[in-house]
Amino acid sequence: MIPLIALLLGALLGLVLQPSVPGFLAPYLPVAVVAALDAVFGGLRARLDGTFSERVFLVSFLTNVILAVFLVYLGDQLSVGSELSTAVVVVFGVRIFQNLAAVRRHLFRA
Amino acid sequence: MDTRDALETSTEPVGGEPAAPPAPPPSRSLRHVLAQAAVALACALLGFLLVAQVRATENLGERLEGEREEDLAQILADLSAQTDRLQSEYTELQLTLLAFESTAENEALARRSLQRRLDELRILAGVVPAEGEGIMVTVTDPGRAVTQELMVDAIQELRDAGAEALAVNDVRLVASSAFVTRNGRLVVDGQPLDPPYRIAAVGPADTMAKALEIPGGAVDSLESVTGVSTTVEQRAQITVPARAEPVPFVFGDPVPSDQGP
Repeated sequence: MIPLIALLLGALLGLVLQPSVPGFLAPYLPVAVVAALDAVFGGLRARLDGTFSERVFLVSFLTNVILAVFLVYLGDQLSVGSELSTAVVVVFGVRIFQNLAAVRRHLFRA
Repeated sequence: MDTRDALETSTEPVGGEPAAPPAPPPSRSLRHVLAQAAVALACALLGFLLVAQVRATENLGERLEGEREEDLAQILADLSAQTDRLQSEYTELQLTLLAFESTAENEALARRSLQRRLDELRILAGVVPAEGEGIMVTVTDPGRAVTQELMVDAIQELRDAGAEALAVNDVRLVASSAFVTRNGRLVVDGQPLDPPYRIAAVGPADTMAKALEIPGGAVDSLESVTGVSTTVEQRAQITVPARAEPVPFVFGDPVPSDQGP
């Protein structure tokens, strides 16, 4: 419950502060957001499985984001940046779908 | 589950991890609170970044700022191609519009000129009444002394002065009109005329009046006959009636010409 409230508070803060993304961060923010989303949905699933651990969640959150951004940065250096960010989004997208399917099975028993 | 572990290190949050201790000892309660705070902070960060990214995507300028160079080049090429396509489409439509406009204008011009020509021919043929500036000549002749020659002379004088439509006692005169004398009465196109003769003429009033009144002209000739007097009246508006029935054309056919009317 607390994480959900924190998420909404963060979104509200974003709406109030109206942050603009600095140019050098712009290619990396989308993959960072998708990676973080994967961590959060994974955490939600673990919570429903009864295996949630704050430590695991935090490490997963940070490594997901850092790894995703690093991969895209590396891709940019190799001039395959847009392809690699697509790859990252696809991989995390698939994982988010799997986590959501597990969550769905928990919630609806189907 | 192995396939999605390719990218992951050992920090898999979902499965394969030992569950957190269900009831931590009281001495670790502070760490537990801190951990929960960190989780909440991470979630808040995600919400914040999510909103920032959505806003950046909505803003075209910021979105372009974030694109890579090759993507920008691709976007520019796409937009240029689109601009070219729209420009040529615009030019094409503009040309079509111009063509339609000029066609419509030509048609309107042609229609106006044809209508004008038709009106003139109708007046000449006497199938429609004509009105306009003109004169009214009244010839008082109680003794019926005016001959057809005198009448024809007067009519000719008026035509020479520019009369466009003529009528005698409301009988419209056209190209085929003829004056004859029958049993001492003037007859025009089969209609007997009784004095006083009223000659109505549409045309330049001043010119026609002067033409009739020149010394030795039509008025002088008419008044030289005993008992005849004439008045010439200029009018700003005079109406000449239509011919009772149109002249039938039986023998004449137009000679075809290559040029249009």
